[in-house]
Amino acid sequence: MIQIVNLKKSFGGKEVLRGISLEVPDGATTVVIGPSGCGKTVLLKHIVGLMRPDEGKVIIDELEISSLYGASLFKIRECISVVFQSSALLDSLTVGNNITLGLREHTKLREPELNEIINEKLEMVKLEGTAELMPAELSGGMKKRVAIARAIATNPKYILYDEPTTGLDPVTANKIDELICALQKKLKITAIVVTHDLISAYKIGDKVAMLREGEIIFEGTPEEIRNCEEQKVKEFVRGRIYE
Amino acid sequence: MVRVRTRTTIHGHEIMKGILSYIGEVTLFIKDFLRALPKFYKSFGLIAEQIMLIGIASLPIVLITSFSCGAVTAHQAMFQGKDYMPDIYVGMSVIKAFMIELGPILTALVVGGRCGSSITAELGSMRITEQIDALETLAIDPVRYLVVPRVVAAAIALPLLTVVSETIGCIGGGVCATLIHNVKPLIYVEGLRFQFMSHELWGGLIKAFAFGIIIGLMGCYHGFRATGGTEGVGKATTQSVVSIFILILLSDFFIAQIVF
Ligand SMILES: Nc1ncnc2c1ncn2[C@@H]1O[C@H](COP(=O)(O)OP(=O)(O)OP(=O)(O)O)[C@@H](O)[C@H]1O
Ligand SMILES: [Mg+2]
Repeated sequence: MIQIVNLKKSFGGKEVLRGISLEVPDGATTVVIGPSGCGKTVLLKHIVGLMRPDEGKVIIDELEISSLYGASLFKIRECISVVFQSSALLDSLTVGNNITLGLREHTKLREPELNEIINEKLEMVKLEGTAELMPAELSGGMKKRVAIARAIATNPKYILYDEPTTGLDPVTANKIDELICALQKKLKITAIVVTHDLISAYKIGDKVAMLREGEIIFEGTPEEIRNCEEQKVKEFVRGRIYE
Repeated sequence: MVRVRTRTTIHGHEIMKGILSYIGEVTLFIKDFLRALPKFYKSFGLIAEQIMLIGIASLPIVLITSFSCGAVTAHQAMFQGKDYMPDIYVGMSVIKAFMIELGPILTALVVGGRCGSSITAELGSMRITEQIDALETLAIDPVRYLVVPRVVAAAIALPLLTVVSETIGCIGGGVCATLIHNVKPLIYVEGLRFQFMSHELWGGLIKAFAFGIIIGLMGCYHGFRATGGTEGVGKATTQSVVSIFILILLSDFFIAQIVF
């Protein structure tokens, strides 16, 4: 289980996270929604230890990741995968090599087995036959899907998605939502999805938390957040109508 | 008057602080590098690839600069020693100049400008597009995966390129001496061997090795700490080349003190 306890972070005097506490239940999808610039990416980076908190901690499976360094940090990262906002595929490697990057590093699998995994994962994200392409030859939506394939290739226990549907057309966004749901059902992965896309939040979330001005101002099911009467939540959820 | 003074002191203070924190950060980076270095065997493929990139790709420009530099050295030797220097000293001047100084420095500056900047640009764009973060989350040490192969490759490629540069420099000197100054080819070759001291060759190659490490490390360091979008990558690249040149020239002096 992932627990975030009273997490605080400032950048040069600007408070981005002001004491966030959140529990992420195992085997379900937790969606964190919030407006652009509210610190969603910063929150995700704390969960994988790419950023260090000023105060508070992140606990994953009883280990406090925010105070781990070196080998023990890498050890725990082996069970977490991240799909970055910008996809972050290594552009010097083919799609296939991107997908197997982690496996080549941590397992002794041979080429035929690796190729099998590449094909299997590409089939899951509906991108068969693209293994030999370079990332520069892919569209934004395809890159996102390759990033998802790379994230699931290592069979992680946790998967973190940073805005998986932002900047995509509605059809592709839909496909990615369905993919996340399908993966969750099939592989029972615990997922955290960070987004400002409400439609996809309702569709894929088992639990929704709303982040605003560096604080969690709402936690509950998608149904509950839709009916919430709190002014700040309503503003975001129902958009401009209530402005 | 007073105001000007306070302002300059604040300035000096800040510059000192900047320099010290720069040295500190580079030291920490070197520490990370040394910790990842023993695992270099995991990346033989990457190292070979980088040697090709750094070594083979730099070959043409090293050939051209060394040839012309050798010719100029021979020309100057003939010109300065006209009428009283025996011809045998031309070859000796060229080979000594190249082994001790010109070969390593010329190669390092050419490769530093060419490959140092490209390493920084590449790693800098990887940094700002979160590719380095992605490596970390895949539990791959980015220092081992990206920095170690580049530094090791540069440390291997530089001495090799230096040997090439020294050879071509001597050929360039020979061409100039025999064709323009009518030195007999045999005398020129005799000059190359006359007073040849192997420790001068090795000393030069040790320098080249150190310059390779400087190019690899500083190129990677500036790439890793690039921030602020594409503009930041451009800035990092400029800083990288400047710091590589300064460090090469400074360390040249100190290594010379130790080796010769
Ligand atoms: N490395 C950093 N240095 C300084 N400030 C930062 C840094 N990273 C993030 N910030 C600041 O933190 C705030 C939150 O950034 P973050 O990237 O988490 O937003 P976000 O919620 O992910 O937005 P978006 O939906 O647009 O991706 C921003 O105002 C940003 O300026
Ligand atoms: Mg973001």
